[in-house]
Amino acid sequence: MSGGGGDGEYDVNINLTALLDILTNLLFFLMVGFMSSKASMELDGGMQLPTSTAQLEPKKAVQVTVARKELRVEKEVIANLRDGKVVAAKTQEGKIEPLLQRLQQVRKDKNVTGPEADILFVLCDKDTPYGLLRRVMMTAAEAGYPKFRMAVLMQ
Amino acid sequence: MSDKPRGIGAGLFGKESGTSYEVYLNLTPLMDVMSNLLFFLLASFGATMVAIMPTTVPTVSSGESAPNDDKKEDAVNVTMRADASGITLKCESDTIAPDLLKDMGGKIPRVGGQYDYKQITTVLNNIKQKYRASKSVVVVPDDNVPYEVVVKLLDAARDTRLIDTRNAILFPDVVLSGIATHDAEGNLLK
Repeated sequence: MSGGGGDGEYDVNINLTALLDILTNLLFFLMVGFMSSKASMELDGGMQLPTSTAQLEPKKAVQVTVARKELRVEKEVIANLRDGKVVAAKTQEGKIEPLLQRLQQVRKDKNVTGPEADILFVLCDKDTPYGLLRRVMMTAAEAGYPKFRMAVLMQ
Repeated sequence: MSDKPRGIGAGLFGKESGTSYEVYLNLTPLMDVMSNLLFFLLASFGATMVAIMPTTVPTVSSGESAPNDDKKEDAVNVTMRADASGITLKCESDTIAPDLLKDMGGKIPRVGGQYDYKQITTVLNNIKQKYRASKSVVVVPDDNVPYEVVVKLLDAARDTRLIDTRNAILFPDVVLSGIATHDAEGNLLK
């Protein structure tokens, strides 16, 4: 490195060890925080959760995702969505039949008892019309899940 | 262990070499990798700060409620209807005469195309100040109201964060209505 104002050249060695130390600490802190997240959730590329002043930490439960283009239970696609409506899926009295059947199956398979048994964790895109969400919740209530944990982003 | 000082090049286990070397590790590439990882993790960490809002659906009980001789504090149930024109608040109670509750609710029109969330909190806060045992609010949004707006309505009803930094709890029990179609016996609700 050449220093101005003189004939001589100076080789400056910046001591990065201390900075590296701080970065390592930060890195480990973030990695531990990242891993200890109680509920893992995968959001679609285009899906956005609404922001809220809610502070409650997420807890694991059966997960239903109302994305922009599809409706999922856990990771399985149940129905396709277009313009806030269910495409090519049987509906009866407002209920979404494939969702009802899948949730009843999940409830039977998991065989959970106690207060956590009837709670559903719902991830819903912020632009979803309430009419669609209402039908999803109504179907879930029919399948034995009348309580919901609505996922939101902390403000 | 001997207190005799070791000379240059003398290791713990005897003389290793007559020459000493000063080694400068080039930490710059490692720094580079770590900085990248750090920024990636910071970005992901912010995106996963997820909270939950507990909600329930209305339930119907077919049996008559058991008589309760305990004297209860007066409480009101608030119904908040959201439609294209604005918010309509209505109060009901089992123990208070409807005439007394008539003036507590009312219509809150939209301001600049949006619901007036601060005004909603203010009205609900007035109700809560008068009837402190009140806990439940039933939110009835129109089908075309986006989920984001429903969440804001629930936020406005839950606490006084929008109008007061002290953040008092208003109506913690939120029920989203228009969901239950059948009662416990499977009869279609009208």
